[in-house]
Amino acid sequence: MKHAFKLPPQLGDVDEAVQALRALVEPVQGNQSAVAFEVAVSEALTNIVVHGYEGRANGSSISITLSVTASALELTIIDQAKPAPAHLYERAPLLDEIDFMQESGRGLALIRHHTDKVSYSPSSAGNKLVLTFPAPQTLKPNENRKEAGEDP
Amino acid sequence: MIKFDTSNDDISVIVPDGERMTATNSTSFKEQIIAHVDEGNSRLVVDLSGVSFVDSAGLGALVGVLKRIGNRGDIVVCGLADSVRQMFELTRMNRIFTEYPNRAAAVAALKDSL
Repeated sequence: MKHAFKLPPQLGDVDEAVQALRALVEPVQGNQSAVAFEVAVSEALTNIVVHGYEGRANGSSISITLSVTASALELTIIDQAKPAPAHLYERAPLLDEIDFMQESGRGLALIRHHTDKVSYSPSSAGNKLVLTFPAPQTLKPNENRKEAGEDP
Repeated sequence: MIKFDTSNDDISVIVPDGERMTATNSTSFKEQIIAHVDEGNSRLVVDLSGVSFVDSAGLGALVGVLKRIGNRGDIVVCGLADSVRQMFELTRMNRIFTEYPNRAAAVAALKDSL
């Protein structure tokens, strides 16, 4: 299954987009994995809107493509914002490395924690971020159905 | 707009508006509570029973309030949904915010700590 969205680069629209994406993933991945997906996607989109577009609400829309197959769950985000450093995601800290009293800086660590792989390609033609999550088949037998609240 | 219940002595119960504490509303959330703290209210219970999702900005707002309170008072949380508790545990926020199952237990604990 493949779904494509356009998201205006406005913070007020991020929550709704994240919830819509989660709703697509939860029946396939189950509740626990959907929570992890929601956290990572929320952090990624918020970073792009806040740091990339920096409040330029009239910027080009962000393209989001969700691809769910038996072997992979991937979210591709393409934005026309100010590029982030090429190695931003590779150099994300671990959650344990973040000071308790820091008010910011947990977003990248949460993305790192909740994904199998993060690929980022900054470009003037569009910055491409691909988040890869554990595939549905890596869940334990029946976990999908149970977590989705269906009868066994 | 968040709700403040100040009917328990000097303890304020804070109820966030909406089911999500994210970058969208965290700045407003933090500013409103800090204004409340600056008015002399420094013993706070944040009732998260109506919240289903907290992101890093929401956590950062709580940390900001905690830093503002400093040694003058205390801030605890209650009513965490499983998904919110997981976020607290993952980011180790559970080590700096004491959690209670509900508002009554949180208020009672703060009263006992006087």
